[in-house]
Amino acid sequence: MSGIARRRFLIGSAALAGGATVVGCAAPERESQVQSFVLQPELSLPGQELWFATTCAHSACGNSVVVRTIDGRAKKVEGNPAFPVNQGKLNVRSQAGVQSLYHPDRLTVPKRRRGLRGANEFEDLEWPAGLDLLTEKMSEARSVVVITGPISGTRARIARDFATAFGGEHVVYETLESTVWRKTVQDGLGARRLPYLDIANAHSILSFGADFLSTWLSPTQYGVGYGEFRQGHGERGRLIQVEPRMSLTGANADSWVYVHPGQEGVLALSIAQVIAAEGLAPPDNWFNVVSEIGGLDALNAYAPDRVSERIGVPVERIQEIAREFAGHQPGFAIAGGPALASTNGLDNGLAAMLLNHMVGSLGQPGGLLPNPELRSTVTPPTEPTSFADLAGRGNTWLEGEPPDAAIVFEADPVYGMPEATRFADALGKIPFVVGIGTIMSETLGHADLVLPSTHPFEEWGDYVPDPAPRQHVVGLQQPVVTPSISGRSFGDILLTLWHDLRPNLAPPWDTMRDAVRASAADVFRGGDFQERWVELLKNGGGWNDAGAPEFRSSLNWHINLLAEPAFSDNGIEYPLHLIPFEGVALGAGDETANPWLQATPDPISTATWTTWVEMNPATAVALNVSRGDVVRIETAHGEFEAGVYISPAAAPGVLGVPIGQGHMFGGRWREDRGSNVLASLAPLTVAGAGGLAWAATRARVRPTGDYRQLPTIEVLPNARNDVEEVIVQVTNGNGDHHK
Amino acid sequence: MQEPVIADTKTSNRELLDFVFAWPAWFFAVGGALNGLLVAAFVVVILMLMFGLQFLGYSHPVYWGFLIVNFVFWIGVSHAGIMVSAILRLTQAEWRRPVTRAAEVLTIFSLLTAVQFPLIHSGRPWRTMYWTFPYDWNRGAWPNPRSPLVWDPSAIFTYLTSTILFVYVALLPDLALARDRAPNPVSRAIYGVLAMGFRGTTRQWRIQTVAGLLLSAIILPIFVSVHSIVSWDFAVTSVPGWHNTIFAPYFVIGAVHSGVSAVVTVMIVMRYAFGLKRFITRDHIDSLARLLIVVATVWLFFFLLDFFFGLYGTEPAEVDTWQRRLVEPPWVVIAITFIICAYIIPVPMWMFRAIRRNFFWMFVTTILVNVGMWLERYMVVVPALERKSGLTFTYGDYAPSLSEFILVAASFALVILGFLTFSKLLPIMPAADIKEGQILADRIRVGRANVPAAMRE
Amino acid sequence: MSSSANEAAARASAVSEMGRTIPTDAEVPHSEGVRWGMVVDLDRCTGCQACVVACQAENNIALNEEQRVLERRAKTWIRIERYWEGEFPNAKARFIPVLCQHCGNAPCETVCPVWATYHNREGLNVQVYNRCIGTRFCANGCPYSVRYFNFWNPEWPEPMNNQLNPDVTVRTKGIIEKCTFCVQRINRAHVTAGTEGREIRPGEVQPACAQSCPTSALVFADLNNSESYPAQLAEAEADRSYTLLEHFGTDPGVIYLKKVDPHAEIHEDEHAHA
Ligand SMILES: Nc1nc2c(c(=O)[nH]1)N[C@H]1C(S)=C(S)[C@@H](COP(=O)(O)OP(=O)(O)OC[C@H]3O[C@@H](n4cnc5c(=O)[nH]c(N)nc54)[C@H](O)[C@@H]3O)O[C@H]1N2
Ligand SMILES: Nc1nc2c(c(=O)[nH]1)N[C@H]1C(S)=C(S)[C@@H](COP(=O)(O)OP(=O)(O)OC[C@H]3O[C@@H](n4cnc5c(=O)[nH]c(N)nc54)[C@H](O)[C@@H]3O)O[C@H]1N2
Ligand code: SF4
Ligand code: SF4
Ligand code: SF4
Ligand code: SF4
Ligand code: SF4
Repeated sequence: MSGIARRRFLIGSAALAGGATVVGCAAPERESQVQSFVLQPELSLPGQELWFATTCAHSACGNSVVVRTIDGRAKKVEGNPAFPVNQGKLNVRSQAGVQSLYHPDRLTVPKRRRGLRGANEFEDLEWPAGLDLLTEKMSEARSVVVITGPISGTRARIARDFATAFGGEHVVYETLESTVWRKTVQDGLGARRLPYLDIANAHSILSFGADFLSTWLSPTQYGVGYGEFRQGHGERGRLIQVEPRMSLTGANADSWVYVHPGQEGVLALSIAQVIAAEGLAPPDNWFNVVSEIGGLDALNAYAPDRVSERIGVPVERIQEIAREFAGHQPGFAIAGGPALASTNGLDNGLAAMLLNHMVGSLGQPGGLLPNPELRSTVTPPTEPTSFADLAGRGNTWLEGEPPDAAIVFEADPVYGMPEATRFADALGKIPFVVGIGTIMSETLGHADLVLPSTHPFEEWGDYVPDPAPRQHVVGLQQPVVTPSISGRSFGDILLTLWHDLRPNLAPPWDTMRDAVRASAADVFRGGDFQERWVELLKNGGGWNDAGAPEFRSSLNWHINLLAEPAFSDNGIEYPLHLIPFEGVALGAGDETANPWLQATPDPISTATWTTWVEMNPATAVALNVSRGDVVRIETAHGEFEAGVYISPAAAPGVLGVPIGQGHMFGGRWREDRGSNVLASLAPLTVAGAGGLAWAATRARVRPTGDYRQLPTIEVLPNARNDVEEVIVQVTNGNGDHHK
Repeated sequence: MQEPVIADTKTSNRELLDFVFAWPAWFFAVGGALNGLLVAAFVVVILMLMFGLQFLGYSHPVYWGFLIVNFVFWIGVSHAGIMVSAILRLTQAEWRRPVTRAAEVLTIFSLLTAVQFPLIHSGRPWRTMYWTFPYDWNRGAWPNPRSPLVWDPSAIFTYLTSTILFVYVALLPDLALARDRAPNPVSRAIYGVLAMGFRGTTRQWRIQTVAGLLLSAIILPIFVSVHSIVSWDFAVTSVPGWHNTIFAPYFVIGAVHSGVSAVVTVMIVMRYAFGLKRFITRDHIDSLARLLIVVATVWLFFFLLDFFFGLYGTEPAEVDTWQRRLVEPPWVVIAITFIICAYIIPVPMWMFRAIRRNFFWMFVTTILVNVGMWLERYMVVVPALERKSGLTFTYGDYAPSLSEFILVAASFALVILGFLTFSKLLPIMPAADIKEGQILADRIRVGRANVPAAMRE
Repeated sequence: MSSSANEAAARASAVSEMGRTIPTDAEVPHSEGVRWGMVVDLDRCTGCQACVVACQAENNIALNEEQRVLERRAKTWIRIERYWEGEFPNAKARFIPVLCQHCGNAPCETVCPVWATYHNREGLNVQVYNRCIGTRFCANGCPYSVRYFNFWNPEWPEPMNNQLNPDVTVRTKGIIEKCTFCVQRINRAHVTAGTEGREIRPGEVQPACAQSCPTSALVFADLNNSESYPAQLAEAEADRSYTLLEHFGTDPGVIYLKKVDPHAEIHEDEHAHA
């Protein structure tokens, strides 16, 4: 039995080896033969570059890339110009893809746990031994939970159906999840797929905490739009960002507006009230919507003078925002980040959605546009599991009903779930945990068996970008290099197990490549598929225009539902707001093994390689700390250390802390570095959406007396534009450009 | 006023050559200690060659620091020697005789030390060694004539060559003397070759004297050019605080200030170390101190000019640099220290004859001058690089590393060791010159008249 | 022979002619021939750092470990300078990508004793690593501080070296390196165009940073080709174009676009009221 499994694996990897270099532009089909190293693959000429289109499945933004390979080595990734999502452009994380491919600490052989779970004691196994162990344990398991990161397409379908066939379920874990935004879109627009943000044609954008230029959903796509928004059309678009901690998007806003955490919804309703009261948008647009969700009277309770004090935004500022936003249409309002990560996050999101209904840009160029429904169920987009669901499952496991086995792939809930959820313990209750990944993580460190997976550049797959670019898009992933380690792809491992252990329930394909091909054949029908397939691989995927359903004309919500935010503490013992944030390079921590990304300066503080806390100068004075002082940040649920960065943009009473460091596993550049802010968060959830309310934790700060120089790129504390207001003048002292 | 040194030829010869042939114990102690420093520096240099300049305190964007400061310092010290010697020769100042050789030797060794520094300071010394010379080796490219780093080696090596010639010419009669008194055949042979057959014939004396005078005249403009060119390493760049026209004369006079002070220090040390009490007298020190008062004051004047020119232009970057130099810590401490050491303490003290004639106080004040002058170069070079333009984002800081301290300390060791070694091999007092002075001072009775024993030509 | 082939021949012969004919800035009027340049629209730039890592990946720039950052010896041929203005709640962060400006009158070039950095016929400030002796004089001269010194030999732990770009030299210890405008890509385009017997097309050469930049804040082309987008952009946007540290007279080949946003005035007023 295990012999069969082994042979299949060998065939599978041979197919990879062959496929890797052959499927380029106009490559011949039928490459799945064992290939001798003596015979050099046709296309590989020494020194000759070859470009392969594939999907950068590593960062969840769904960018399609072309990888430059020379002599079978990946050299550089560029954006795929043909691909409608990122249009030839890339963000910082996609740029670093090759570095994780050639990471010196990549997992190369299976590992079996020897010590206690999480103690990082493993012994190396040969692949056959690893597979035997896997098959043996899985054959005994009657329920298997499959935990993955935000995967989509064929891979997600295989994970889902596999889990079902093995009497379990597929759980998609996102560290900072998109579930609340998805629910907001469902309730606010009646749309099942995330809307397209027509940034390029917008004249104004009002963002409640959504850091869409940095990490929110699809930043490359948004970046492309943003360039046009600013300088691509006659009227320069204006960006208003409302949030308690200045994000990168906030730093780029024309108006950055501080609001007390969790009060974004109140501000949104207050803006709505001004729009209604001042007639900034035609009543035809909004009268019905407002009536349906509570009416003008309910809205008037949010008049600026009645809420200003409570939310920390001056009355005139609220009015300005309303005029600015409603007066420059088309445009749209979105919500994300801390706004949705409060206990009342869904309400905040829906209040923001109300503004879209009011200004009348919904479905219009420059507003939010509906994305087409799926054309086929074979390539589903990511459907994340909410924090509440996952924490609930964890509790069930802890209470004695764990599944028999768990398969974890590219997801790190042990790192990302607040310690208060005891998720590591819950995972510990599962008798057999298999971790699959390219590099160790906290969760893999808790596994019984760790299997090295191929890198996204070494494997077959597909990806369904969500939000889509108003087209139905499937990005294809093909091996661009021969795997340098004897890894197996996640999909191939599942397929093999499936065929071996549940042959009657197994799908018709043996390998991921066959599965992906079959999915593509299903989605992109018509004509000679072989030609089509080569064309799809050349383009990095396929896309076609598809009609989209219209947005619903009103909200599934009522103004009176808007709740006060709840926090982990009443603010007496823990007086400060702790706002974790994702960095543009490190994201939520999955990229911290990568030295380029570790060394990429945070755009705001210019800090690298560490965990810092952004602090208002006055707060710092009150605590008697200055830049580089190490402080201990304590919450009711944990504590951690961080170096002080005094930021002129930080609000008094708000602590901004980057997510991503504080790992015990994951190689030389990731281990023992900084702290994990997520662990200390309170396990509060967003009402009605189940997401983690990660901005609802309060904290206090204690100086430790230690000092550690902050590794920032800026040399002096806070390089400033002291001379004049604008860059232009710092740099040439010429006032002409002011006008 | 100058009291001639009166002694018979024999005594003079013995006293002046004594040290050459004697091996006092302190010589080994001092030599050993200095060699220890040199070994440490050697290790640092080897490490730098093997593993790059990571051991230095340089960082972006402050890429010059201690080593360049030290280079400028030693180039400065090298100036005085020759200047004192050449000017005194040209003006036939009688009291010069015991001073000149020490001054010249100091010049040679500080120059030789100085040139090491740009070399080890560069990233690839093995190429710097010859690529900066004005010759198209095999690269297919001549050096860039617009770069002061091409002017520098040309000027410095011209200076070094002429200095060595100058010293050599003056040394010829003493080499002959050493040849004649060398205790063993080997050294006799060596001195013999070096003396180039100098036998003291009138013709030889005449040529030697004229050559010395000519070289004195030629060397003065070279010497002015060298430190001017060193100053242009800074002045021709666009770095605020560096690109000042006053830099050339300011650097030259600064060099003379630190160099003459160094000569005084060295002479006082020699007086005690080599037992030259009879040759180095209070009068010598007094004369040099008077010269120093003038030099120091001119130097201060140029420093103030540099400062005022900077402010007068009101160019923000320039003003910022001056602000950093004179107001911001730690530079303000360095600025105050150097002005106090190089001017405020010594010059008023030198106004008093008693101090000018006091070996101890002259020793202290001249050391202070050089401490001050070293810091002055540090203050000229580094703060400007730390604050280069309006892009405040890249402002840097500089903190020298242990390696740099070792290298700087070793440079002093190298000069002292060179000096000691020279004095072991050759008379550090120009014996012939001194004797000439004595002969000129000797008077004989002719009838009732008391006339000089010899007539000047 | 096409003129670009001529050009290539001229470039090839430059090596043997060097010393006599290395063009100085004065000898090459940059209004003639090709002048590669970049237009940086600060209004588009979000500070997202994609260009920074793109450049690291393309140009084999050594890893900037934490210790390197602490020592301020990290190398970033393009860096995003962030300037603060104002205080909370009216604080603003401004981002400027700063790379070698490929100055027409480059202060770094005149001071280099060995022609390791000089101006080529296409307006690039070229850095010839093999010639550099590491005096760092050029780094002093550069007012933009975009020259980085190699304090050690770079190292990539196996198998990370696989990702090194074979078109770009790995720089050894003891020399200066800096943005080259991705000269390897320009040269490749020359070769391709030469083989095909044509001129380089506008937009054919894209440095890594510009290619990645999501917002198209960076655009690269021959500034002297009036048909190139950047040339037209710089022309059309004359009212908001400026060069960095203009008063140094370095004649940069990088042109920045920035106009004050009208909203800034609102805040100034508020500031005044407060
Ligand atoms: N016209 C012409 N012909 C010549 C010569 C000439 O100068 N001109 N020189 C002659 C001489 S001296 C020689 S030595 C021969 C050389 O002739 P060949 O031996 O044919 O040498 P290459 O073409 O350099 O390399 C052969 C192949 O090895 C592949 N390769 C590279 N690394 C590896 C590896 O690790 N494993 C495997 N399996 N393959 C690898 C390369 O991709 C390439 O396809 O040519 C001879 N022929
Ligand atoms: N980039 C690159 N470099 C390589 C290789 C590669 O594939 N690519 N291959 C490597 C290999 S395998 C080899 S063998 C070497 C070869 O490297 P070299 O030995 O340098 O080979 P060639 O360049 O072919 O020839 C050297 C010179 O010999 C001259 N020559 C020809 N005939 C004669 C003769 O009869 N007498 C004399 N005196 N001179 C003569 C030629 O004109 C030429 O200038 O290159 C190695 N280097
Ligand atoms: S920016 Fe600096 S390095 Fe680049 S050409 Fe100008 S002076 Fe030289
Ligand atoms: S460091 Fe290199 S490029 Fe710079 S001036 Fe010196 S030799 Fe020239
Ligand atoms: S690897 Fe080839 S091209 Fe490079 S130096 Fe050696 S011989 Fe020359
Ligand atoms: S042009 Fe090339 S070398 Fe210069 S900064 Fe951009 S990517 Fe780096
Ligand atoms: S990639 Fe573009 S937008 Fe991002 S920092 Fe660089 S120049 Fe700015």
